Amino acid sequence: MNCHCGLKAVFEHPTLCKEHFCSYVEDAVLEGVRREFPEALTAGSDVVVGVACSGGKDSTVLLSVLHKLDIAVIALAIDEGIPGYRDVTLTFLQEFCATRGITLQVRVAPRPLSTLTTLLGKSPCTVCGIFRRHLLNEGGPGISCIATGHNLDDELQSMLLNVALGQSEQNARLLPRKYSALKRIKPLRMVAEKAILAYAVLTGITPPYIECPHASGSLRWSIRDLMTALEEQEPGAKLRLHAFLEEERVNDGPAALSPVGHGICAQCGQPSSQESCAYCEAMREVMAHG
Amino acid sequence: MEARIEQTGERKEFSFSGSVAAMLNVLGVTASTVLVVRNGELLTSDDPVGDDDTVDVLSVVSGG
Repeated sequence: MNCHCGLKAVFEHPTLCKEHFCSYVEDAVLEGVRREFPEALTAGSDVVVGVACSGGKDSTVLLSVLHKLDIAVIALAIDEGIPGYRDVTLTFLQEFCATRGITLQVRVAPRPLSTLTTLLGKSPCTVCGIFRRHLLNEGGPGISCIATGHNLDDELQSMLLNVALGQSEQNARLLPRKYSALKRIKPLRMVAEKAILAYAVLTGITPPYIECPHASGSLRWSIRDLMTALEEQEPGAKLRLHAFLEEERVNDGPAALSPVGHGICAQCGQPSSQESCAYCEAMREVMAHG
Repeated sequence: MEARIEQTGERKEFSFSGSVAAMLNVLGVTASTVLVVRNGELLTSDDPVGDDDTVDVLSVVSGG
């Protein structure tokens, strides 16, 4: 199987050699930045992109490509206190950033995740989401926007989750938008997860293979498995489904993104549909228990 | 040949000669969920593999 240039292919769909495949991924990231935060590409600007890094392949590839494109980046990591998982990914991230001269800022949740879930009586994924979202939205000194490593598969799963839960109007809210003072962007949202792993292999990025111990059993996990089965039976189905839902949510965007019912938390100033956001409510509980 | 399967941590040794797609079929691995690497080189589904090879079967999905 050969690339259009005649060299041996290293990837299928699209079928490209190493050089053309790496350019394909880097161009997709560049296009994503141009689409979602063009200020980052202005020569001489003092824009700094904070990359939300988990130490996994997606956010690490995003960090690496943005750095290669000469966009000023800072790696932002959240330590939720998940033993045997987050400590492993953070160690990798520290080494990755150190060898490339990238600044890494690590924010630590107020208590380990297991303590927080017991204290708040919510599922680990819900609690993790509340703290990660808040701590990332805070950004950091000099950071102009937050880039996350969400890929095409993540986006498809999220959109289908909303459809399954009867809240498809929420899909437009997954599009890049402003949270408090900082815009959130997803430069990889049009790149398939498999292409991101291939890019990591080809460029020598070797994050540890490790899954969050709380991930299995979630509804997202079930949708992921369904999508895998569908793709095996009907190759290209994921891309077509994504394209359909993407068009629908972009068309829905203006209405779904209207400010009705989405205000600002009176305590922290971050977006909230209530007077007090989920993070501030959770922190009140945490502080009450010492 | 030897296949190291990342997701399960298994190392499987078996006699085989054929394409990557056929090898994954023998291993019972869903092709769309993995990449196959030999000596740091990414293989495509039609690449031949045989008894002298050691391949890594990397899982596309990780994280959580």
